Amino acid sequence: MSEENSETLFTVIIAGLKPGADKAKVADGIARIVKNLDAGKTLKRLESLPWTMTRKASRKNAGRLIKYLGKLNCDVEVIPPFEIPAIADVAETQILPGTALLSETQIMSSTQFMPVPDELSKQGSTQTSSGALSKSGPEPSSLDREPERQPEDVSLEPLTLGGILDKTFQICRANLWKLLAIAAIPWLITGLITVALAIVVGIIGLTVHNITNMSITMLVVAGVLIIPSAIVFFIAMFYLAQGAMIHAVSSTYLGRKINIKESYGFVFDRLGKFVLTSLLFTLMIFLATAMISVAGTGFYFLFKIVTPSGWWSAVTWIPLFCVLIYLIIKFVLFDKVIIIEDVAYMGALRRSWSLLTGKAEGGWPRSYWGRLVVLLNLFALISFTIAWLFQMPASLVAALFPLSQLAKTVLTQVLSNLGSLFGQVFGAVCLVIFYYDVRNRKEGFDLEMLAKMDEY
Amino acid sequence: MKKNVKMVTIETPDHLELQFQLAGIGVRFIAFLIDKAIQIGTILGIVLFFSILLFFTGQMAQFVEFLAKAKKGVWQWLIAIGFLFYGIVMIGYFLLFEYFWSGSTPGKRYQEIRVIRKDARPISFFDSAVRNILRFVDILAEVYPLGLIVMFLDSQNRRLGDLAAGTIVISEREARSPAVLDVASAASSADPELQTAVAAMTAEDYRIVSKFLSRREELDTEHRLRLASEISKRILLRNGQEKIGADPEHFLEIMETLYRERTRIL
Repeated sequence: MSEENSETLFTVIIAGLKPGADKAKVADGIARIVKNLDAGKTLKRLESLPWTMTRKASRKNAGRLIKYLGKLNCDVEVIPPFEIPAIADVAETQILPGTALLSETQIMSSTQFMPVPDELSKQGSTQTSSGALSKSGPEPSSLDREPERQPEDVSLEPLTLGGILDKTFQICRANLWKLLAIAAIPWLITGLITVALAIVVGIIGLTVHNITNMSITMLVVAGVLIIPSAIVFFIAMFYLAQGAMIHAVSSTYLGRKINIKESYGFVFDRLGKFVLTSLLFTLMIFLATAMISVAGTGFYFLFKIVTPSGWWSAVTWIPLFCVLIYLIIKFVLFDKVIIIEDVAYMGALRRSWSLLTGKAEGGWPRSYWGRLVVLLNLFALISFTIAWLFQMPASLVAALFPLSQLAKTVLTQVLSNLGSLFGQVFGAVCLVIFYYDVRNRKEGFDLEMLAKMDEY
Repeated sequence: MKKNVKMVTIETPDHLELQFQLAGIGVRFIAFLIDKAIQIGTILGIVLFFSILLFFTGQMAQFVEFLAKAKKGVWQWLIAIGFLFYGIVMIGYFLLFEYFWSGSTPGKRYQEIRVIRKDARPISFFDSAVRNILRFVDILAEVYPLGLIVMFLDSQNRRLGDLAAGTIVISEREARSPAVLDVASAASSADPELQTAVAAMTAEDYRIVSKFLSRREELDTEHRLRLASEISKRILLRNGQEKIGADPEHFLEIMETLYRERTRIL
């Protein structure tokens, strides 16, 4: 985001007039700088102070206006505090800072965060724990005629399911290439390694050392060393990519820029925890599957006793299968918990479980778990569309052009992998936004961020 | 027309600037799914209705016999009628609803979105016809591949039908007002400490307080208590006070009411 977009905007209020100020002169002076307002109207307006002159002044314009109004003998107040100490001013004038600055609708409107440049955050606002965030400036006015600046909208507040998908598309659209690059890195590296290995084994092994003459023991040792190492390496790469994606999406959601190197670097420190917790998750699901299978088998024998055929027990398998799905979905957020909150192992699984327990206000479905199920189904539909977008051209080319079988396979495979890559990015973004949405709803994460902001 | 990702400002011929929030792709996708479900339900309902009608009038056997003995030409006619019926339901549904419901359909209404012309006027029958006939191109194979890609690439989330008809889809979702509280008693209104505290409150503080109060039922207990304390602390710190009362949530309720009252007075 450009610095221009992230400038803090100031509200300038005439809180009162200094003793001895000539109202007529003040009115005349103000009328000179306000469009569509003559001295008469200004004089009338001065009878009911405070008067919000502008709600969207740049630092420079606010400074000019304060100086000008000061010369006219006006008591001026500016929000966020700008040279005038806020507390002292409030105590002296007894005017509510910010009072009546926002219309009812504006007050009710969504919480907006606007990243601010460092120098501004030092002067007025402070950075929050989760990044360079600052509250937005006050609302627009008729006085300040600077060209409208559209900050990147970093809105942290509860969303509907449609809102989550909207946000997903927004983030994907704004950061598509970076997110694709993050997702593609392990594919590229594994591809390169595979090609390199093929060259090494194929050319060097067959020609220089003649691999066919190697003893079985040597081949087994090589296999034992290479295959597990390769598996571990590939797993680590894909976990790195998944974690980097979560970190990148989290950054952009909180209004920061995505940095591919930083994302990978950040996850690298948590890779061990991430892989081990994933193994724990897999183990738990495996255990749950085993228990459900045992229960299913038990039902089979039970039904065999009470009914003519044990296959009637199939009616119990569907609920058992649903239980398994329920368990898997309850743990789906564990990877976000590890990367974003740095909570690992059972803690991450418990946290995912607790986040997905309870009911959301408004909308359908109400339970967090149900919302996630619907969201996953919507995501599946969109992923299907994305996959179709890539596979259809491949099928058309294969059908219309006389290509060799190898070329057809390569084309189909490449486009299919591209489709998966897009789907992977979309899914990762969608789930991170869902994760934050749950936190906003259950924990008031957005409110917490706002409350921690210090305006002094 | 000025534009950015979410908002669109339309300048009317009499130089009025109207600002709308664009409907996102996700919301539109869900609206479409709802409409699709209604359409499929309608078709199934009609088929079921006629089946039941045939069954109860005792004509079912004759109808099945007729189909079994029907010649190839009759079958072709039946298929053509079937396709026509499907097309009428698929296009007619959107066309009629959008025309008579000012750019809305049941799905769109549920998602609080609406189609308008890009000059902010309501869509005409012709606009609706163009955007919905082109839906067949957007919706190849019923999965919306072209529509999705065009919407993704267009800054105003328009699909081919929208581009051709000169329409946009806007969101009509209004910010929900927090429930208005009225807890400040005469005694608390007169309390000078509370008056000082509310005098120091900014609009941003009020926004946080009102948001907290409107959403507190959804928060879990631990975070609810912590947030109430943090927000109270934020307000009290403006007057250099650090001591938070026993019930910060009640304090926030009073602050909310007092701030609103004072705002109204000013």
